[in-house]
Order: sequence, then structure tokens, then C-alpha cells
Amino acid sequence: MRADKLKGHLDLLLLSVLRSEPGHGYAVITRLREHSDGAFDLPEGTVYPALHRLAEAGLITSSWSRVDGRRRRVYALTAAGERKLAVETREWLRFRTGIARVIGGTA
Amino acid sequence: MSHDTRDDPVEAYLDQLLLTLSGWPREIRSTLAEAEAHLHDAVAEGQAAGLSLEQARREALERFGGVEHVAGRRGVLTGSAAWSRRLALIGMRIAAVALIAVGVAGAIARGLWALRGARFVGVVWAPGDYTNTDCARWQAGFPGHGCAAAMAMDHAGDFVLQAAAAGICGVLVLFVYLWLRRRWQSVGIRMVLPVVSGDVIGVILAGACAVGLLGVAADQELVGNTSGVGQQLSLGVAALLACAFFAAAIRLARRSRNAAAA
Repeated sequence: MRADKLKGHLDLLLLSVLRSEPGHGYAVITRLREHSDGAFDLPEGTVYPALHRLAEAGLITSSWSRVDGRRRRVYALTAAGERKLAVETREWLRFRTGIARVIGGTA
Repeated sequence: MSHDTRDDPVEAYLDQLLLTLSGWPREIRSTLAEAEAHLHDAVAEGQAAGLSLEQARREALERFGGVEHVAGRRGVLTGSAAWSRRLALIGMRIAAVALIAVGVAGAIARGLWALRGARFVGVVWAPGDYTNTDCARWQAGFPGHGCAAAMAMDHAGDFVLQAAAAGICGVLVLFVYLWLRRRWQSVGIRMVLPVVSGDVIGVILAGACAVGLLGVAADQELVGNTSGVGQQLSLGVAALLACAFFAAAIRLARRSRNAAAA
């Protein structure tokens, strides 16, 4: 899927990926790719500004740790992030249902 | 284990990213560290999958995307933008010091007024260059004085007031300059021109102003036409102080650079 089609949904995807467990940027991107069966193959560098934006908004936290001899910034979902994820998920499901109905009706 | 990084495209990419990112130093360092860890992971993963080192590096960079993706909403700082910001900072620094120097000149002029009288600071026009209405206006401001004395005091007061206003503007410009300098911490901006370039321009400009103004003041003193000389003298001394400030800033920057190199 093209990166521009993901625009607007990236925050939801990142929050969703971090719901299961905290992870650093590379792990987040790997999970995103694996969970989508390779459908979300966006430029990996775009994920970092999005993660920073979510951290600034207080939806995720970040802390530095050393993994495999390398400094990693590990992100984790906050309580506010969990609430936001629940709201965004509900909205997305409603949106998806609406689209499916329209497409199904005109097909 | 160390290796030659000159031909490493990942290192070249990280260099480019460092020069591109703008924002607070901590944000830049964090983003750079994340990008570096990410790219090394991607290269290792590629090699584990059977790619050669060169192929793994190339693929890792392709997947990561251009530096504009990492710069995100802060945007990529193009060369021209870096130049614009650097020149704006230099211009604001010089303007702030110049305006504050004019404010200092006002204070010096006030002192000269007290020491050598209003005529030394305020210009007295030649008879015929002003009207009785002008005289009445000046004398209303300074009752009990003759027309020429009131004119000198009025003109001296105007100079001191205008200089003080310039000084206040200078302080405001200085605050804006300091805020912008902290905001625009990009290495790319600092690398457009050497750090001391603005101060070198400042030394030249302030030095030229000081020489010119003090020369005019000395000339007028020598020919005995001291009306308004205090303005040139005070501005000249202030320009000399500004010149000394810029020179001290250059010296300080050099000392810091030498200390960092050591």
C-alpha cells in the first residue's frame, strides 16, 4: 500500500502495534510489516516523526536503553494512548463499515 | 572492530541527516541515534538474509527513505533556507548591538550635555534657518532661556530620547535573536558560514563608524564649531564599544574552539 494512503491512519497503526508490548522504532516497523503481511511497506524513516509526535502528545512514552550494545529508544503506550486507541479503533470500524456498505451497495 | 567508513553510504546518509535536521540539540541527537540504530539493524538483517554488505546497506537505505521522511513535519532545511536563517541571525545580532550602542550613545550624550552644556549635544541652527514660531515652541519647552539655548536643549533632548528609543528596540531585537538562535540549532545553519563571520562584519562596520564619527567630532572641535559635536562624539564612542564587543566575541569563540580542539 502506498505511503500516502496510510497517511491519517499511521497514528492508529502505531498505537495498535505498541498495545501488545513496548518496542523500539525498528521493532515497531517490523511488527507493522509483519502484522499487515507486508501491505504497509512505507518508507521506514516516516515512522520516527510519527512516533515523536505521539510522544509529544503524551500518547506514548519513550525511554533509552541499551540493547545488543546499541542505544535504543523504546516506546510504550500510555493510559492516554490506550484511550485514544480505543476511540480511534471505534471510529475506524464505523468508517470501514460505512465504506463497505457503500461499496457493497454500488457493486 | 573498527572499519573504514569513508565509502559507507549509511554513514554518508547519517551525515546528510545531521546537516538536515533542525530543532533542539537533544531532538537532533535522539533522531540521529534512532536512525543510526535502525539502519545498522536493517543492514544486519539484510546480511543475515544472505545479501552482501553493499547490497544490505543499499536496501536498508532504500527502505528507510530520503532524509525528508525523517525530518518529518519540521521539514527539510534546504541550503537556501540554511543561508536565509544564518544571514537573518547575523543581521539581527549586528542590528541588536548597533541599536543598543545607539542607546549607550544617548546616555553618553546626556553626560556630555551635563558636562559641556546643551549646545555641545544639540545642534544650533544658523539665524534665518528658523522662525519666531520655532523659537516660541522651543522656549515653551524650556522657559526662561533664550531662543538659541532653548533650541539647543530641545535638539539635545530629541537626540537623547531617540537614542534611548533605539536602545530599547535593540534590547527587543536581542531577545528575538537569542530566541531564534536557540530555536535554529541546526548544524546545517551553523556550517553555512563560520561562527565568527557575523562578528567579523560587526568589527568592520562598527570600526568604520567609530573612525568616521570620531574623526568628524575631532575635526569640528579643532575648527571650534562645537555645536552638536556631542552627537558624533557619543555615537563614535558607542561604535568603538560595539567594535570592542564584536572583537571580544571573536576572541572568545576562538578560545572556545581551541579549548574544544585540545
